[in-house]
Amino acid sequence: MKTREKTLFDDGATSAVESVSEFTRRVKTLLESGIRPGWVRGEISNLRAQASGHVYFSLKDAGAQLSAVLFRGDAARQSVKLRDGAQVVVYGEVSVYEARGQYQLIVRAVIEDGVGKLQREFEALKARLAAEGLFAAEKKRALPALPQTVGFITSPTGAAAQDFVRILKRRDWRGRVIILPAKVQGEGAAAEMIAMLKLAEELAIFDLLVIGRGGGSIEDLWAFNEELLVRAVAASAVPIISAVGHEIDFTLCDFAADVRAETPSAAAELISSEFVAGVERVERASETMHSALQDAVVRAAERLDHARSRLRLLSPDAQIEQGFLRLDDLSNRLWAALRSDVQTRQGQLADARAALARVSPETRVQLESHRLLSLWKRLQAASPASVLNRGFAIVRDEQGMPVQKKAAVRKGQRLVNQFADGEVRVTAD
Amino acid sequence: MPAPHRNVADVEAKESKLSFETALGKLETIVESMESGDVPLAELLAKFEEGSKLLKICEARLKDAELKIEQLKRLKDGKPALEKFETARDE
Repeated sequence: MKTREKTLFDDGATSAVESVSEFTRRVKTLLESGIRPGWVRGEISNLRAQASGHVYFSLKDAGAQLSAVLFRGDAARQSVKLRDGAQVVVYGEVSVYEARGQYQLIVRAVIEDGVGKLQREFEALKARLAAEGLFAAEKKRALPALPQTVGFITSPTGAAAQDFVRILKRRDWRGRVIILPAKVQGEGAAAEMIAMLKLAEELAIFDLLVIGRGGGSIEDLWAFNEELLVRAVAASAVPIISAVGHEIDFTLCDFAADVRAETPSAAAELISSEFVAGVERVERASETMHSALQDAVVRAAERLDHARSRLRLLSPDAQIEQGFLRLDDLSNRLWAALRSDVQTRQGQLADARAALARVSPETRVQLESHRLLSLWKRLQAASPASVLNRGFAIVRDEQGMPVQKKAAVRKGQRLVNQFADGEVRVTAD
Repeated sequence: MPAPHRNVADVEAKESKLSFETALGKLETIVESMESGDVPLAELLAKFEEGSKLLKICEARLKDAELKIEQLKRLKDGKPALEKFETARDE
């Protein structure tokens, strides 16, 4: 055969050609030494128990299948009864059966895979509900800072209720807690919790609900993954906290609730923290408000003081005072000006007087008055009075005119004779 | 003036029904607006007055609250009733 191949395909590749046995041996060596024994999860199908006591079956999941054999000796030691459709986890090693060119798993141990089944259901339901938007972040509501009435849907005899209440007490939370009793595991648990959710809604006294229980196995917590309860939690009219199991446990209620608390105790801590935060917010708001007002009042007082002092400068009183000052000033200046003016003029007057005195006509006045006196004496000597004094009389007519000729006198004319010592009225004959 | 009186009563009734969150939220908004510093004094006083009312509501809620723990029971006729919830001794 080799020679024929050589003649047909003279390509120098003859060294790569192996027999089926050789090739299969290589595969066997590779698989059996390269793949270490391990755990495999799957569903049993095509189960065939041979008369020899060996059991053959296939392990499958959605994407693949794997031949498996459980030899008589191993089969006798298993507690799990194998059946088609069973979800199992098996421990085994890979083996290649050269005669048929098959690889298969030599199973050494089989355990029932309840957890795996639940896990798958969980994942499937989670994916379905998530696709519906049941867990959407925008659906989540904030918890009330100060819930007056909190309803806790849980077992009244469980540790969760006691832990929850103890922590609220210890952290000095204040408000009303109502335990809404329901079975939290086993048959009918989900239905009881749904009924409590409904009742809580009907009572309409709750500001906040908590649903939960203490830790347990995945089966114990399973009620919190049941679709109807998950839907009821998501639809709760009241904000709701899911507090199921331990930190590591996640249930679908956790995703459906507004807030997931890791444990019932954590839920109580969350609620009391909100309370403390609320107290602090009130205190802070109060302080800020008062100081804002106080600051504003201080600022306003400062402005008022400033305005008042400016106003005082502008006030009528101040204006009058200013006026007085100005008046006094002006009057002082006026008097000073007047005084200096008067002095100046007095000086000028004195100067003029002196000058006048220097050219005084006194001597001439004396001279003239002597002349005047002699003239006056001569005038006196020549006056009619001096004639009268010497014993003559002056005859006057009725008009007082002097009568100097006899011809001017008519008979019966009234005349006045003037003497030095008086007058005598006469009538001419 | 009966109308304004009734209005005031209405407003107060409404305010006393405010939830703690709403009252606190409103209070915080008011305080924030007071903090800006350039609010006229008269307006500031009005805000302060409103803020004080809200503060009183919030403080009353905090002060009045007391811890009360009850358990819901079903009566024979199926109606729900409340009874004291027995708690373990608090160590």
